[in-house]
This record gives sequence, structure tokens and C-alpha cells, in this order.
Amino acid sequence: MIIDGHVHVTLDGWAAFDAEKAHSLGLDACLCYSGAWADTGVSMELARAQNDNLARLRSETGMVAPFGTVHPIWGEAAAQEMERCIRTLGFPGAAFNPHQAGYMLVRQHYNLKSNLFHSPIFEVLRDTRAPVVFDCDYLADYSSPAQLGEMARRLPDNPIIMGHSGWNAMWPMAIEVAARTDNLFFETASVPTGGIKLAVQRLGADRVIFGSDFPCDNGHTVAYELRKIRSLGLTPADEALVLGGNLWRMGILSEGDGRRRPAMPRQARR
Amino acid sequence: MIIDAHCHVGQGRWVSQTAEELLRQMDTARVDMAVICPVDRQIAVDNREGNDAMIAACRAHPDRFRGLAVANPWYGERAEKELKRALAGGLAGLKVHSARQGHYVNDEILDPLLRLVDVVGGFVYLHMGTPEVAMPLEAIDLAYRFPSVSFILGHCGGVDVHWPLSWEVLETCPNTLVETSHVAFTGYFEEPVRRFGGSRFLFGSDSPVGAMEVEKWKLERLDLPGSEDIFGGNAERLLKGRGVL
Repeated sequence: MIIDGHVHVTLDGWAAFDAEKAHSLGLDACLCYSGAWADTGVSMELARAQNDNLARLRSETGMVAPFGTVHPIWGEAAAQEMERCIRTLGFPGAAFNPHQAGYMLVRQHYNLKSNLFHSPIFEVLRDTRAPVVFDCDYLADYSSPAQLGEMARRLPDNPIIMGHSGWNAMWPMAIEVAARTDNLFFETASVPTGGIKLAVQRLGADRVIFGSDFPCDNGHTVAYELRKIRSLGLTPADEALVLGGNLWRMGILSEGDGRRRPAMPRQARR
Repeated sequence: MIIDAHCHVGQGRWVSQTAEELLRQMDTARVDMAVICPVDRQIAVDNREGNDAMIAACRAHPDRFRGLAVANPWYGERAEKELKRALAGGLAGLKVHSARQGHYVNDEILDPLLRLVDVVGGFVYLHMGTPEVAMPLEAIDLAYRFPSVSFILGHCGGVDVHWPLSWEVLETCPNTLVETSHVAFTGYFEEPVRRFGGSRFLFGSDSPVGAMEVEKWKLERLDLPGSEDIFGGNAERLLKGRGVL
């Protein structure tokens, strides 16, 4: 079973979820979060609608593992929405995209309630022990691998997944920090092949998670990212862990999810 | 001839590759020639060691390798002497990695080295994608200051938000080209290649950081106009301009 650990789903037309296309590209299930532009704080209502959309897609497609998204600037209201996602809707995890959403983990907001380390959201994450994805790309100020290492240390019971793992600039930092932090996971979207290979060698295949950034670039990234993993020459057992086994073990799928269904409804496009 | 415009040979802290290992990758990917440069430590401090290794590899495999020199500009006159020596040894141009070497990419500290490259008709590969020190719109300063030197923007300028900055550089400076390694959203190439022409793009893998076969495949499947230029013609022109092909 291939589980894609990095899939965006938004209601703004940028990233509509197309289950048939995902299947045709070889994906059995997807860790999905809104991410990027649509959760940039434009409105709490939109974030809530996007989270509801993920819940709907999970039940309709049987291949969506929804990760709730909120903006920390909303303080208590953000925590309540995250609590709703995880405890009421039964989402398996949470996702944050600090760079694209325009906030830093620690430094930007003088109001501690919107500083992730001190915000009410942090308490929800800690109490639920849910897996958490943080986009971790190329701007060190926002969410560098080292900052996520500190987040992982402060949330020792939560698996913390580095989305992009530093991309092609900071992947060495991601490997070094993850080697010192057991609950930090290395996700592979846009990481150079040599970086992924080294991550498997240094961290073990059980700490590396395949991701494609689907549906960016009209889904072309999926074949490229899969080819990178398959070019590594991993053992079948290790490849299976990277391509979905690790996320499966985190329990992000509902029972029966990931088994292909005969007719996959498309998400209505706006 | 298919030429990979950006590969490394040497024992690095993060990734390593011998000349023989690179040749095997080239054979597997059906690549005729690679433009090679040294690895991290040699780029940062042990420039002479790196340059000697490039010269030796090119002499051992004259039909497969051409090399770029490294010289950290903070060494001042010693860097100029080292670059002169390396170019005299047959290396084709200069690789600048401002993040490893500790300066802004447009810093005038580079100018004495760029003048040396200009004199011999060489070209310059710029590492791109490290904010503050290695970004496309900062590199544009170099292209203005040295209009007769060709500058290659590595990794298409960096990551997704940097790629459009590279298009701005291509638009403005005819002496610039873009190298393609690590760009995951390959569909983003199609419009710029049609707009600027295949003569402004170079296939590169950054091997062993990137997997050569995978990086080549991602471009082949796009059926880009001017693909002969992208896969070798442009690199061939740069090397011939320097007189090393």
C-alpha cells in the first residue's frame, strides 16, 4: 500500500482532491491537509470549512487521512477548532504550514497565545498525542529542522513529521536533528535523492516517509517522487516502510481505508 | 551529445562519489559527458585539493569529463593564484557556492576571480537557493557587472518560490542560463522554456546529491522544445567557448 505523506486539499481551487487521479498515479491513501495559501489567516470560517471538507472526503473516498489545520493567530478559537478536528471529527493528526501561512513557530508574535510553543493549540496537541506535520522548507526563520527538533522535544509523545525535511537546502540539518530526536520523521517531498538515501542510512527506513506534494504541478510530482524512492535500491521491507508502512503504523487511516473502491467520487470543483 | 552540466566528484561530508561511480551513473543514464566540480570541504577551504582532483579526473577521462574550479574569494590573492593555476590546468570555469564560501553571491569580493574567468572565456556556475546569500535576483548583479561571462543559476534558482526569480533574471540578462537539478514541479519548466527558448536551460543532476537517471527522466518526459540544447547543446557551446571541447 502506498500512502502519500504530503497532499494538499483546499477549497480555493488550488488543490481540489481528485481521488481517481490519485489512484491512477499509484496512491492508495493520502495524508491530507489544507496548507499553503488558504489557511493564511483569511478567516476562521474558511479553515473550518476546509477541515469539514477533509472529513467529507475521508468518508467518500476511503483514501484520505485528514490532518486538521488552523492558524495560531486565532489563539483560543484555533485550539477549539483543532480540538473539534481531533476529538469530534476523529482526525488522526494536525498540520501547520508556518512559511506559507506567514508565522514563525516562536518569534513573530509577541502575544504568547499565538506563539505555537505557548499557544492553547500546543496543549491540544500534547494532550491528544496526535501526529503533527510541519512544513519545513527553505526559510530557516519559519520552521527549520532545528526548530522542529525543539518542537519534537517539547511534544515527546507526538510523532512530528518534517514536511519537505528542509527541501534541497536544509536536508542535512533535518537528518542531523532527527538523528538526535526519536519522534521526528523525515518526509521526502522535494528532498534530493541523495538526501533521502542518507536519511534512510542514518535514521533507518522506519523514520522516513514518502511524500509527493500532490496535486502540485497537476500531479506530475507523484511519478517523480516515487521514482526517486525506487531508485534508492532499498530492500522491499524498507521500501514498504517508506512508501506507507510508517504512516500505517502511526494509525492515520481508518479501518478499511486505503482499499480501492470501485467508483471514486470526485471532489466538486468550485 | 548529452551533457550533465552539474555533478560532483570527491569525498564529501554528506555525499561522496568517485569518478568511477559517476561514470557508471552516466552509462546507466546514457549521458556522454559530465561537468564536474569538487565537494563541500574542497569548495569551502581546500580549494587546491579539489582543483587537483578535477584536473586529474578530466585528464584520466578526457572524453567524459570537463571540470570547474573552486576558489574561496576570502583567500584574496591566494584565491586568484589558485584559480589561474586551475584554469591553466584545463578547467572550464568557476563554481561559486556563496553559502559554503561565506559571502553574498553578488559581493564584489568575487570580482577579481570573475575577471580571470572572463579573460579565458570561461563560465560560472552559481549555487542558488540559500536565502540571503544565494538567490537569483542577487545574482543578477554579477550578470550586469560581467556581461561577457555566462552565469548558470544552479537548481533553477532554488525551490518553488525562487524559480520565478530565475525567470526574471533570464528575461533581463542574456548571459544567464538555468540548470535544472532538484526541480520537482517539472511542469513549471514548460512555459519558461517556450518563453525563453531551450538555449537558456541546462540539464543537470547535481549527482550524487541528485540521481542522474531520475533527473534526466523528469525532463525527457516533458518533450520540451529545444531539448537538444537543454540536454547538451548549450553546455557544448559553453565548453567550446572556453576552448576545452
